[in-house]
Amino acid sequence: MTKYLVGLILLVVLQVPNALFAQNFAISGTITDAKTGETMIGATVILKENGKGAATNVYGFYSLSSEKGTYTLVASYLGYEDYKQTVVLDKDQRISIALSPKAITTKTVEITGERNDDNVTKTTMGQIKLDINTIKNIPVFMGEVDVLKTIQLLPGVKGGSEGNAGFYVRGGGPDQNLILLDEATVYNAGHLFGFFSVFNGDAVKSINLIKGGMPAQYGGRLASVLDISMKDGNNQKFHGDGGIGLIASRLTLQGPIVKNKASFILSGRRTYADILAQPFIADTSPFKGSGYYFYDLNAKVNWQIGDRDRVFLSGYFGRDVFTFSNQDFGFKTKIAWGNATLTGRWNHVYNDKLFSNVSLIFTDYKFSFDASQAEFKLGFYSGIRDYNAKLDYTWVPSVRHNVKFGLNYIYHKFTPNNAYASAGDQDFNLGEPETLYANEGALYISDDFDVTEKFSISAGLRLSGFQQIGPFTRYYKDSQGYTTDSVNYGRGESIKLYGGLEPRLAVKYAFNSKMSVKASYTRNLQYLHLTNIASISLPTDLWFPSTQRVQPQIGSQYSLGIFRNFADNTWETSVEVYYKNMLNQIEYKDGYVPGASLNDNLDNSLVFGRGWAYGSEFFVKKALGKTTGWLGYTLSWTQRKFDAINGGKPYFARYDRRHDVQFIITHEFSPKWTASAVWVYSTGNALTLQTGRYIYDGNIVNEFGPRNDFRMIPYHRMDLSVTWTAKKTEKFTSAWNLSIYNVYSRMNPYFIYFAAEGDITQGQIKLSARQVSLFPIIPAITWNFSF
Amino acid sequence: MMIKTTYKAIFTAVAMAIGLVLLQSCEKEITVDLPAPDAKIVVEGYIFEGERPYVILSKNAGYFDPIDSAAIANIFIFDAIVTVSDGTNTDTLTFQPAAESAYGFAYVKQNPTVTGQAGKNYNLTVSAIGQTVTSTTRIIPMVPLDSSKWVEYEDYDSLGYVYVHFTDPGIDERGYRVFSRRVSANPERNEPLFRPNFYSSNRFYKGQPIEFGISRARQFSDQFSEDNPDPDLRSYRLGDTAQVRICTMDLPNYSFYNSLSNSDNSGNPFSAPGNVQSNIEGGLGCWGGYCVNQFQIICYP
Repeated sequence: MTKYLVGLILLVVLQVPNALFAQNFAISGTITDAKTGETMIGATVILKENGKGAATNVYGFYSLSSEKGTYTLVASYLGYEDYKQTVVLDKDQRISIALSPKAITTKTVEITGERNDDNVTKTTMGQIKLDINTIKNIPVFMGEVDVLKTIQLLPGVKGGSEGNAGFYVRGGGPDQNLILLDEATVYNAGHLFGFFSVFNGDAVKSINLIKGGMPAQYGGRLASVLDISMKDGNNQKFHGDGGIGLIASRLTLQGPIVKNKASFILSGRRTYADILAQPFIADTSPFKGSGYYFYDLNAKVNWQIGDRDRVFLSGYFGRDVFTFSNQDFGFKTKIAWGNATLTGRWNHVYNDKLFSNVSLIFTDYKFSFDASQAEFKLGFYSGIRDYNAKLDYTWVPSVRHNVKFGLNYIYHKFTPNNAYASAGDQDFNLGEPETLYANEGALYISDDFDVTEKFSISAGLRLSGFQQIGPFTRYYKDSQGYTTDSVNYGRGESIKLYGGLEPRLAVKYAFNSKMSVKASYTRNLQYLHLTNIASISLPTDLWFPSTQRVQPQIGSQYSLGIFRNFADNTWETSVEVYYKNMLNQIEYKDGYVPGASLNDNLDNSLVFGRGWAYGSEFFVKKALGKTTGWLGYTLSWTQRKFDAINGGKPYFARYDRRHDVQFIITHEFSPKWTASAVWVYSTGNALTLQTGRYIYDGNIVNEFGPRNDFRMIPYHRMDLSVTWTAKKTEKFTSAWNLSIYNVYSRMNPYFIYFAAEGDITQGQIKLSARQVSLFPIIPAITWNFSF
Repeated sequence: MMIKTTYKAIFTAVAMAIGLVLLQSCEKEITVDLPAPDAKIVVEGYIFEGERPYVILSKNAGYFDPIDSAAIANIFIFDAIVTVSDGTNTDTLTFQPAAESAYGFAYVKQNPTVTGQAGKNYNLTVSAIGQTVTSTTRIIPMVPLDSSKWVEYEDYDSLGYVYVHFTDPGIDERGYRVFSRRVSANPERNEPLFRPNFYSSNRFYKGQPIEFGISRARQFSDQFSEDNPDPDLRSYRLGDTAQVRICTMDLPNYSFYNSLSNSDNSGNPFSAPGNVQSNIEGGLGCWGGYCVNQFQIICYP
C-alpha cells in the first residue's frame, strides 16, 4: 500500500510542471454570506462552459484554474441565490463573492449545504455536512438544540445510553472520535453527565462529520472526526439571537468592529434549574446549598487584513458545577468539570493557488471533586492539557488537483489520577501526583486528483509520532501485584517513542452525475486512550497516553459504497459497507478497584486486546421540497477479544447494535409553520450481568457471567416538534418551538439491577431484576428571538 | 482506606447527582433469563500464625436459585480431599466440627504437623466436584505495636473505640487486616470469635507510623444488622475487655478483600462489572495466611 502511495505522490509532483507550463490561469477568492459577512464552507464555484469547479474550504476560500478563455462563473450554495459573473480568463485573478439568502422562504429547511449531487460526485465517502439550520428544526430534548444528538440520527452513528450526547461511530469507542471546535480538541463534549453537549447551537456555523475515509490532515483518532466551526460574527451589522427554554437560556451578540473588516461574536448559555429551585428549598432544609448548573461561553473575533490575510481568535469556556450539602451531617461536596479552549489562527493567501493557515491552540479539560465534613477535607482531580501548533497548506496546482500538506505538534500534559486529604492543619501524604507528559507530532500530504471526468483518487499519507517524556516513575509489577522494580526518568527524558505511517486512499468512479461507486482504505494511529470504569461515559473517565505498557491504538478501515440520486437530485440514496480492525484496545483488569496511583502506575491496571467491526449502512434522503428528511438503517457487528477478559473468548462491545433505524421528516406547511418528527430504533445495549452467587464468610458474593452476554430490550422512541415563526421583520424575529420527547412514552431501559429482599438469617431472600428507565414523555417549549 | 473512600464517594456523588437531576426516572420488575454459571469450588481458607489451618468449602449457585436453609446446607462441600503443605510437611484435612470457624465446622486436622509460621509459604490443594484447585499464601512477619489505648467518643457517654499505633517496617508491600472480639464473664457479652474490622494496604504509609481506631467488629450473628443505628453495636463500652488481632496479609490476600468490598454493586451503570480477584487457581474465594499480633485491652480512659 505504501509503495503505491509513494508512486501516487510522485505522480502528483510530476504533474506540477505540466500545470505550470500549460496556459492555465487561476481564479481564487472567498465566498461569504452577503447579509452577515460569514464565510461559507462548502460553497461551490463552477465555470459553466467546461464544468470545472471547486468548493470552498473551511475558511471559505476557493481556488480553481482553467485554460485561457471567457467563462461564466457560477457560485452557489443551497438556500442562497446563485451568483453569476462573466470572467475573461487571461491572467490569475481574485474574485470574492457574497451570496444572498433566498428571499422567498424565511425558514429554509434544506437538509444540507452541500451541492446537490456532491454525495455522488465527490470522492470523499462517509462524510456528512450538517447546516445548523437543519439541526434547529429537529425535535430537541428539553428544548435544547443539540449538535451531538443530531449526529446520532445519522446512519453508522450510534448514541450511547438514553439521553446521552456521546456517540459511537462504526464500532469505534467514544475515545476514537476527534471532536474539534475551531480546531481545538474537545476532550469531554458532555454537560450534565452527557445529557447535553457542550456546543451551543447559536454559536455554531457548521458541522462536518467524517466517519470513514478520513483525510490525511486529520489524525490521532481511529473512528471519526467531528469538525465544528464557530460563527465568525456578522461584519455587516449588529445583531442578536437568543432563546428562553425549559432549562436554559441563551444569548448571542455579534456585529462588526470595523464594517467588512473585523467582527466579533459572543455567545453564552446557562441552565437555571438551580436558581428556579432555590426559593423552594427552605433555609432550614438539610439540603440547602445543593444544586446543579452548567454554562458555556463562546467568543470569537476576526480581522481581515488586506486582501491576503485574515486573523481569528476564538475561545470556549464551559463548566458544570454540582454541589451537594447535607447540613445534618455537615457534609459538603462540590463536583466541577469542563473544557476551555483558545484558538488563534492566521489565514494567508500566498497567491491564487496557495493558501495557508497557521493555528496555535490551547485545550484544557478538568474534573475536580471536593468534599468536606467538619475539618476533614478530601478531594480528587484529573485532567488533560494540550498546547498545539499547526501549519496547513492548500495548494491547487491545476483544476484536477487539490493538494493539502502540513504539520502539527502537540505537547500533552495528563493528570489522570490525583487525590488529596487533610484534617485541620494536618495534610495526609498521598504521594506525588501521577502526571504524564508527551510530545505528539505529524506531517501529512494529500491530493484530491481527478484523473478523468469519471475517475478520481484522493490519496494521502500521514507520518505521526508520539513520545512519552519525563518526569515520570515507572513501577514494574509482577502477577501478584508486587513491585519488582522502579525507574525514575528526569524532566524531558525520552521514555518511549512510537510512530508510524498512516496511508489514506479513496477512489471514485462516477458512471454519470447521478451514480457512482466509491471505495476507501484508511490506517490511523491513536496515541491517546480513554479509560472508563463505568458502563456509561462520565466526567470521571480518564484520558491516558501511550506509555511503555500501553501501545498506540491502530485502526484500519475498508469501505465500499454505491451512491445514486433520483429525480434531479431530489432523492439521494446510498449503500455503504465497512470492515474495521482495531489493535491495542484497552480495558481495566477484572476486579480493578479505583484508587490513587501512589507507588503504582494507572496502566498497570489495564489489559490489552483487539476489536473489529463490520456492517452496512443504507440511506435514503429527500433533500429538496417542502417535505424533507431521511431514513437510515445500519446493520452492524462490533466485537472485542482480550486474553484477560471473558476467558480469552471474543465478546460483543457494549455499544454493539445489530439494528439501528433513524427516520427524520420535516415539513414546511407555510413560512410560519414547520413541523418535524423523529423515530429511532436500535437493538438493546449489551451488558454483563451476574449469573451466579456464592457465600463467603456469611456474605453473598456475586459472580458475573460472560462479558456483555445479556441484551436489554430494544430501544425506540418518537419525538415531535412544531416551530411557529410568530413575527418576522427585518428588525425582529420571534419564533416558538414546541418539542415533545418520547411521544408514546416508551419505557426504554437505562440500566438493570438486582434487588434482594428478605433476610438470609431467616433463610428467605427474594431476588428480582429491575429495569430503570429515565425519560417518559417530556414536552418542552422554547422561545427564540433575533434582532 | 481513605483513598478508597474518596473514590467511592465520587462515584456515589456522581450517581446521586444523576439521581437528583432525573427526578422522572422510573423502574419496574422484569424477567431476565440468566445462563447457569459453570460449577466452581469456593475456598474460604485461613492459616493464622501459631494455629492450624482451617478451610471451608462450598459451591457457587445460579443467581436466581432459591436461598433457603436447605439450599444453603446444600452449598457446602463435605467430601473434598484437602491438603495443606508448608514445603516439608503435608497434612490432609478432614471435615469436622471446628471451633475457630464461623460456621462451627471446617476442614481441619486434629494433631497438625503444619501450623502457621511467619515467613513461610503454604500450599493448599482441594479436590472436589470433579475439580482440583490450588493456591499458595505467605505469612508475612509482623511488627511490634507501639501503643494502644481506649478512647471515649465525644458524643456518646461510656462508648468508645480502641486506638492503635505502630510503624510499618517499610521492607515490603503488604496488607494489614484487623480482627477483634469482646471477652466477658457475662456470656451475653462474651464473643467467641475474632471477627474482621477492616483491612488496609501499606501502599500509603510504607515505612511510616500509622494509627487507627478499632470499633467493635460485627459478629457473625449480627452482621445483618447493618441498618441498626444502635451505637453500642459499633463500640467498645467503658469496662469492656477487647481482644485485638492485627494481622499481616500478602498482596493476593489483600487484593481479594479489597476487590470483595468493591464488588457489592448490583449492576448500576456507574460501576464496572467486576469479579472478585481470587487467589484460588481454578476456583473462587481466598486462601490467606496471617501473622498475628494479639493484645488485650481493658476499656478505661
